[in-house]
Amino acid sequence: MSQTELIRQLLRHQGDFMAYLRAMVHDLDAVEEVFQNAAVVVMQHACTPQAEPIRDFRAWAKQIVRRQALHFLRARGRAARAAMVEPELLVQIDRAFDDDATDAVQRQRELDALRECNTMLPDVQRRMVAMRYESRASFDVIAAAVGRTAAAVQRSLSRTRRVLHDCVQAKLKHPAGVVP
Amino acid sequence: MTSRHPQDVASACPRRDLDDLIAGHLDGGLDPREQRRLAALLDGSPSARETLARYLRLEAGLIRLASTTGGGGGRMHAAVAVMPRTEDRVGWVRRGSQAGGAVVAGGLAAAALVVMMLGGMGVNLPRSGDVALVADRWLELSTADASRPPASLAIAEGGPRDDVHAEPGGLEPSDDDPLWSSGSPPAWLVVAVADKRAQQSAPDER
Repeated sequence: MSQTELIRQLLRHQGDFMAYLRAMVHDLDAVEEVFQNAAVVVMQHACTPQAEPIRDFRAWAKQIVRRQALHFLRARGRAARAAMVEPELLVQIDRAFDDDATDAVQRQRELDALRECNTMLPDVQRRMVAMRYESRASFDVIAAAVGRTAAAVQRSLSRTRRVLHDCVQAKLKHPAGVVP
Repeated sequence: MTSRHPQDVASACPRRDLDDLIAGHLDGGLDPREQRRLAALLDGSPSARETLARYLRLEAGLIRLASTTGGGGGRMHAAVAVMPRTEDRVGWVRRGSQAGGAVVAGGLAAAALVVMMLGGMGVNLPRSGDVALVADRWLELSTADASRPPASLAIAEGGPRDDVHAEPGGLEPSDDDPLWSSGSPPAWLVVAVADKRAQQSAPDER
């Protein structure tokens, strides 16, 4: 596979891999770092004449992403004694990712619904989401900005994620209806 | 919207419990016991794994929205517009040195080229900075490699690379991991850097 095609495929699946990494390493900066390391390995495939052809890019690249994530987790665990994700949960995250055959059309519908749902959030929740995902702000930084504790921000973002999930599902079921 | 902790709703509403555990996990909010409980729920139910997959797609969507709001889509929230992104505050590219500056410039040029190439293919592109960061990382690693012993030697001496890893189960390089057999820079990157230099040498022509 040429490097142009590798990059095209990588960009096509970037969101998937970033989300997969979120479930493994949580922190968005770490997610980006791991993804970039994986991207380097992916792109080097074109420089390896003896490499076997890639039949399923998503599955192939996901293995590289996974290796980088596991390495990161081990390194972080050694360096900071940070909490690791339980191995049995990692297995289930893998299964969920591997089994997800949602096509591009459905993903776009979900993204459109999410965009709408995001605008419907109360102002403070939308602000917290934006700070978390756009600015990659820590819970502490967000807490200082909105006048809450870091733990409260973490819980609130978790609830907001659930609200967005339900909103998206409702919009997909009833595109023109009222979303709760 | 409820403010109950995931544990509070566990027995009352299993489905709600699953959602709460998944949503909590994505921000690292579960302790080991809760993680194992979530794993057990997922293991026993394809439907539960589908729910997790939906949350992962939601997460991908949030990341995508955040990465594209700098363009024509507007900010996710206006109050965030003044906040620097973490990558701007920290950055893993060595921006302080002259070499680092070249890395950044090369990466940006590479990104521009790739964006042009892929734009012509009709690919729905993310923010160009994401590609730039990939290009930056490639150059950073290439530069670092020049001052290191060969990968096989580093491994033999007990000094495995800590930045990019090749194998899922250990620190040994793999035959199928091309990063361990250092090659020349990608052609598009070379062309992009050359293009950037040409633009810098003839600014009046732009």
